[in-house]
Formats: sequence, C-alpha cells, structure tokens
Amino acid sequence: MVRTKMDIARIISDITPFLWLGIATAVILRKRQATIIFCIAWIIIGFIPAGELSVSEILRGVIGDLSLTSLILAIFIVIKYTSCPKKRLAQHHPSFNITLLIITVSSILLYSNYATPWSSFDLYATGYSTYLSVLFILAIALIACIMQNYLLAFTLLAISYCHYFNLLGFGNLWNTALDIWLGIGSFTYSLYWCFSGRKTRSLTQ
Amino acid sequence: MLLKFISKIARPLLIRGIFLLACLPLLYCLLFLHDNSPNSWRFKLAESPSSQTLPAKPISQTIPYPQIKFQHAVSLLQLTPNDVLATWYAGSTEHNADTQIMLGHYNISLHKWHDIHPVMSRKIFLKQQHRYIHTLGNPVLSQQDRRIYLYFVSTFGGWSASSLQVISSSDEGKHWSNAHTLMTSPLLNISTLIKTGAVHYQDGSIGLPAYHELGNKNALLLHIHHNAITESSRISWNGHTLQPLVIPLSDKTAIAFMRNSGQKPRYIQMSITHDAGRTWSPTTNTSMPNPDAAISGLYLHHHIVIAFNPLHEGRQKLVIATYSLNTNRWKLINTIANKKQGNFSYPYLISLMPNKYMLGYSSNQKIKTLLFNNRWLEQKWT
Repeated sequence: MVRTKMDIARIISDITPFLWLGIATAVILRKRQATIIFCIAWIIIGFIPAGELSVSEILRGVIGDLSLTSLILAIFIVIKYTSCPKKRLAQHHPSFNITLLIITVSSILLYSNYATPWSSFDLYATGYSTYLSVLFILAIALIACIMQNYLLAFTLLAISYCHYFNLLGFGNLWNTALDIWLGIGSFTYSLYWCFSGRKTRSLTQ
Repeated sequence: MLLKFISKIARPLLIRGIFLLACLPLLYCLLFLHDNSPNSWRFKLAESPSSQTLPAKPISQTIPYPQIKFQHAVSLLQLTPNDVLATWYAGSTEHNADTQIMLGHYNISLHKWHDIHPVMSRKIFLKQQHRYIHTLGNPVLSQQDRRIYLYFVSTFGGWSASSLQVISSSDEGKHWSNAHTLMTSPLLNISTLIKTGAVHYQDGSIGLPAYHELGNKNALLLHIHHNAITESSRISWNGHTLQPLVIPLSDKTAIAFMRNSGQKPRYIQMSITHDAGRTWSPTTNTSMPNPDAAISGLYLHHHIVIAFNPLHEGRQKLVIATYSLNTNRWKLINTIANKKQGNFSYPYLISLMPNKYMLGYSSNQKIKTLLFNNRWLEQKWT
C-alpha cells in the first residue's frame, strides 16, 4: 500500500512541473491554444533518461514533491487556455484570483512560522492531525462553495480526501495542500493582481 | 428565458449539490469510522540495571572495516542479550556520492564484530525512490514491536538539504524494506536531520529527536508510529540548537540536552518537558562547555550519564560525565579519548541488558566502541 501511495506522489511530482513549463512556454510564445501540446512535449522531455535517472526524477530530487493544489491549478489553466485562449484567467473564473490570494496568505503564514519560529507553536505540525485538519478544510470548502468559488471548494475537497486517506503518502496536510513553488508563484501573481491597476480588477468584476 | 434560468439558478444549485454529495463519504468516515481518541503520550522508561556486578575492565574496539576511509555517526541497538546491531555511514569522504549506510553485529560474549556489510547506498536508493540524491548519512536505529527501523538522511546538496528516510526489517536486519520518505518540513521537505536515539512511548510508538538545519537550527521531537509521523513538537526555537538528546525521567517528564552552534563561548543547552514531549521549556545553558559537537547519554539511578566533548573548541577530547538530578551538579567520570590532533565525536551511548553499556563514537574517521559495566561507571562517581 505504501508503495502505491508513493507511486501516486511520484506521478504527480513527475508530471506537474512539466505542466507548468508547458503553460509558461505557451504564455511566453503567446500561443495559449497550443498549451496542451507544449505540456505533452515537456512531459515527454521529462521521461528522457539522463544517466541513472530520467530528467523528471532528477528534477524531483532537487525541487521536491509538488502539492496536489499545484497539479489541480495546472490542469485548470491548461483546460482554460486550450478552450478559450483569448480570454484572461480572471475572465474565465473570477474566483481564480481569490484562490491564489488564499494560497499566498497560507504560504506566508506557513513558511514564516517555519523559517523564523517565534515560539513553540509549529503551524506545520498541525498538518499531521487528520480529524481536526480535515474538518477545518472541509468547513472552508463549504464556505467557498456557498460563495460560488468552486475552484477553491473542489480543490480543498480533493486535498481533504487525499490527506484523510493518505493517498499521496505525505502524512502532512500542508505538503498535500502547498509547496514553496506554488507559494512563490501565487505570491508573484497576487502582487501583480494587486498592483496591476483597474484594468485587471475590472475584468474580475 | 429558460437558458437564463438554467445558467443563473439551476447551474449553481447543481454544482453545490455535486459538492455536498462528494463531501458525504468523507464526512461519514470522519464522524463514524475515524478513531478520534487522542494519542496518550507517556514515556516508557528503560530498566535501570542493578549494581550487583563486579567492575570489569572496559573493552575498547574499532569496528573492523578498513576498506573505507571515512566512517562516521554510529548508532547502536541491542537485539538480544548477546547481539548488538550497529549502523553508521562510510565513504571516501564525508560528503561523497559513494557513501553507504553500514550494518554490523557485535557478539557481546565473544567481544567480536561480524557480518559487516552495507545496507543502503545511493545506487539502491535511486532505484527504490526514483529521485535524485547526492549522498546519505546519519543513520539511527530503533525498534517498535520487534521490528527494527533504520532512519537515515538523504540529501541532494549539503547536509542542510537533508530529508528523513526510513527502512525496516522484521528479521533482525537480514532483509530490509524499500526506503520510505518521511515528510518533516514544508520547504521541499528538506532540512531535517537526526543523530540521537529514539525514546519509547507506552503505546509502542517512538519519539525520534530530530533537528532543522537550514538557516535556523532548531530541535524537534517526531512522534512516530511505525512508518508514519503522527505528531511533532518543537524542543527549541532559538535558532542555534541541534541534535537533541531526549532522556525520559518519568512517564511524563524528560530532559533534553542539545548541541550548541550559537555564539561563543558555547555550553550544552537544556530543555525540559512535563507532558511527555508535547511542549518544552525555553532552552537554557548548562555549565558544561560544548564545541558545537554532538552529545549522547542515558538515565541511571537519579543521574544522567553523558558522553561529550568537554571543550569550548575542538573535538580532541571525549569524556563521560554525570549530571545529578538531585543536586544539579556535573561530575567528570572518565576520559574516553584525548589526543592533541585527534577527532573524537558523535558519541552514542546505550545500556545493554544485563548491567552493561556500550559507547560508540567516531575516532579519527573510524568507528570505535567501548563496552563497560555499570560498576565500572559507578565506582568512578561514588
């Protein structure tokens, strides 16, 4: 069973960075309709052997296991870019920015408490509990669903399932929900969103 | 009109319905199937040996494995009254890719090391984990329900980029499971290391002392049940303490001594818990110097016996000392090694049943052990 769980985590970690590379390539080349092709191309590159390991396995050793949220957001963006390449993400889904803002705030709290602990309170350690943490996440998911932020609601629901049944073998809710690359990415996007002026804001309304 | 109705009212209702339906199985599991009883944290105390034996001359040995130049960080575990299992890491240098985690058995009655072999290497790890690493290090042995667990660290860069791994064996170390990664940090799961032995809880779980080393150095205690971390607590948060040595004094009280990497002059740091490791007091200095080096020890008759380097600089001297819990006083008992150009470090002290002790330590890039009995130890402090 442990083996299967680690394999799921391995598949997620092997694929997710290359999905993001595909998205980045599509944005840089201004060819959003071809996002899925770029993603497939990058995933194939990931499987190229490089010595004892493949490219994706080397990358995984260095950047660590990515979170489930990273995978869900990457798939969401790929689908949206491929289906409506002319529209901005905020036009597709007004709650996208709110979701990234929540990821940003959670990341700041988690990583600041980890990097510069000010007391014995360890926010990361709360992620080892199953019962309370899953109930808490489900409550937020329910609020998100009522507020019609379905992206956030279903992402949190998926995180709850994965953590409760330990499907990824991580054992800690925070590793399932967040990773540092997602934190940096959402922080950068949130900054851009906050300071990009009325144009972007009006798109979300 | 109908389309407008569907998009404005029916669609959100449908999505909310799907969401609630999807929530139901998980809520059912949480409310009706989940074991909600909190962990009962109570230390299981090691048996104190009796003082009936006669003092015997300590037996000092080097683990005979001359093929590899650099050997470091030994950990010991008594398997049977006559068999001690040791693990350490060995390579051409401390941080080389050829580093292996070694295992060896010690026959107590014959005073002989045998069956010394590597149990984990970078090559084996890459095959099992499909993840790049550069090297391995700091193995620690533990036992839960007759199953042996070997925890070690792997890193893709320096030691501060280490992750915690575990393998286990149900046949006294003959066969081992595949490596399993333990998640201990939100930051790429790096910067967690181990050095000292685990403490045991009455429910069969263990508390594995660990520490974060990237930037700030802080000690923590991981509550582990078999392969899974169930809780963790911070022992220190001052940014310069690592390699905690946790010694239970009662089922709820324990004392932790820690290596100090702070500003000079450095002293061994100390912290106390009264709730079996859930919360810890702020760290304080002891009166014993510490050259930013590891310590090891155990509890014996209202004293804590500690092996450490009693210097502010360098690791050229290794001693055994006692700390009296009644008088809070330290007393040097014996010098284990003392050479001007020597490097004696990373002690690992365990009690062996019946009435014996074994100290393992790194001695100039080799692993040395010292076997002695409690009378030899006690006659020096009385």
